[in-house]
Amino acid sequence: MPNSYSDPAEFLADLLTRLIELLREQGGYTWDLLLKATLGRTGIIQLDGHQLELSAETNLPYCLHIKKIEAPAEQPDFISRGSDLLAILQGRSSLDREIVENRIILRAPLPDLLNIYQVLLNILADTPVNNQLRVLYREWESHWPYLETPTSPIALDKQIPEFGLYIRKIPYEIRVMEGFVKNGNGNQEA
Amino acid sequence: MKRSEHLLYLMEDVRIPMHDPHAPIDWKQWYHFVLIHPPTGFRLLANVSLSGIPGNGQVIVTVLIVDPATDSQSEKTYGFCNDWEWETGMVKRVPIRTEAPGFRCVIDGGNSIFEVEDKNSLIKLKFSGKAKTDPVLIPEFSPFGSGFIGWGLLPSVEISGMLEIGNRQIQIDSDWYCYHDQNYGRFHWGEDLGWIWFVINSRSDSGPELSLVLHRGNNRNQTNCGAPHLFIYEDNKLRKMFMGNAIRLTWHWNTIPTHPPRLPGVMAPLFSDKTQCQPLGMELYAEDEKDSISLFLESTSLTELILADNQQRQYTFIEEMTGKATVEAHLSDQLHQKSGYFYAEFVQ
Repeated sequence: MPNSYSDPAEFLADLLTRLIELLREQGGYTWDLLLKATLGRTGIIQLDGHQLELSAETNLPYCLHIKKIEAPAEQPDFISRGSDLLAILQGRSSLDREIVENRIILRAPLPDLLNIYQVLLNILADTPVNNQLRVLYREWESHWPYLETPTSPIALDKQIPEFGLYIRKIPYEIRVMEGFVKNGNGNQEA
Repeated sequence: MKRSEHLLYLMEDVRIPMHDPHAPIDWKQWYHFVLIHPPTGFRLLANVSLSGIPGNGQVIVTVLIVDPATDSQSEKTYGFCNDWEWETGMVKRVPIRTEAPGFRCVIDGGNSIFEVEDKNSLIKLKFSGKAKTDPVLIPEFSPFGSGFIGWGLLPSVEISGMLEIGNRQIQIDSDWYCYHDQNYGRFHWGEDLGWIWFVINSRSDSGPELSLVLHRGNNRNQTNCGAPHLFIYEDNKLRKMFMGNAIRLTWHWNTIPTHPPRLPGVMAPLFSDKTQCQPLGMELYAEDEKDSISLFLESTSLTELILADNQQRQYTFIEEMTGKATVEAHLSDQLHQKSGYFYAEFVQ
C-alpha cells in the first residue's frame, strides 16, 4: 500500500473515488447504468475485513460519499476478499462462480442486485477500450496488502460455475425418472 | 544458408511502426510458439502479442498448457494471460526483444528465447529455440476484415528448456516438437473475420517425421472462405503443398452447447455465461494428380480465447483446440500412415 495512505480502507476509498471519476469522464452506457443502480442509495461494502459506507446523493450532478466505518456493520451489503476479486479480474474465476460458492456475498433487493451486476459487467467490458481502468486495477493489485498467491495450480475448467449443487445430490436414476434429466441422445441435464 | 537467414529476419521483423506516435492503433503483431511432446501428449502454446503502438497499446503474453490424461487423471488445461501497457522501450527491433515484469522474449533471426513466470497460475516456462528449417512467408496481399493480415511460419524449431506447473518440473528437450509462426496486420477484433489453422506433428519408429500446417482465412461462420493452404513437411523439409479446391475440410460438431474453459483475462468473466457447440473433430482430404492425404483430427480439449478490440466494444472468439491426429499420406506412391497430436485454432 502506498505510504500516503494511513490504512487499506483509505486506499480503497481513494481507488473507488478514482473509478467513479474515470466512469464519469468516460460517460456513456456504463455511467448511465451506474446512476440507475446507485442514485439515492446507501450500501456498506467489506473487502478483507475493511468496511466502507457508500452513499450516493439522490440528485444530479452525481455525488458519491465514501467513508470508512469505524464500528463494523454486522451485515454489510457486499463482502469479498481481494484474492477472489483478483481471480475474477484475471479471468481465473467468474463473478457467477464466486457468488454461487459464497466467496462473494451480496445483499440487496433483486432489481438492485441485477443493476449492480450489470454495472460490474459493463466496467469489465470497458476495460479494453479504457486503459485508465487497467492502470487502476494494476495499482490495486500491486498495493492491496491481502492478496494471496494460490498454493497449487488450478485447471481452467474450474472457472465454470457449478449450478444446481443440491439437485445433483439426488441420484441420477431418480432425476431421470422425475424428468430433470434428458435421457438417451441428449444426456443434457435440465 | 545466407538466403535462409535473410528470410528468417524478414519473417520475424516487427512490422508495427513503433516510432510513429501518430500511427493507427489497430496494428497487431504476435509471435506464436506451439510445443508438442509426442511421447506424453503435452501440448503447449506460448504467445506474445503486440497491440497498438508504444504509448497507446498493450503487450500481452499468453500461455496455454494441455496436460494429457494418464491412468490417474483426466486431461487438464492450465494457462494465463498477462497484459501490460506498452511503454516505450519495452519492445526493441534488432534483435527483437520484448520485456515486461516476469517476461522476456528475444528473437534474433532463427534463434529465440521465451521466458515467463506467472505467480497466480504457478506456471513458469523457459525455453530457447533454434530454427531447423527455412521459413515460409505469406505476405499481406489479401484483404482481411477492414485491413490486412500477413504471416510467416517456421514449422520446426529445436528447443530446450523447462516447464513448471506448481511443483512439477517438466524438462523440454529434443523429444519436443516446436512450431513457430508470426502474424501481423491491421484489422479490428470483432469484425466478421476468422481463420482455421492447425499444426500436426506425427512421428513413428520407422519412416519420416511428418509435420503439417493448414491455414484458411474465412468469416466467422465459415460461409465465406479464402483459399486454404496445406504445407506438408517431411523430416523438416517442405515436401508438398496443397491449396485451394484441392483441399476438402469437414467438421464434426457436438450438438449440445456447453461452457468452454476460457483463457484467463478480463474478458473471460464477461462472457462466463456464453455457451456454444464444440467440435468433436475435423476431417481433411486433399489430392491432386499425383498425391493425396487424409487427416482426422479428434478434439480432446478446447479453450476459448476472447480478444477485445481496443477502440470499440467488439470481440473475437478464438477456439484453441487440441487433440490426436491420424495421417494417411500417399506421396509419390509411398504410403505414410501415422498418428500424432495437433494444435488448432479457429474463430467463431
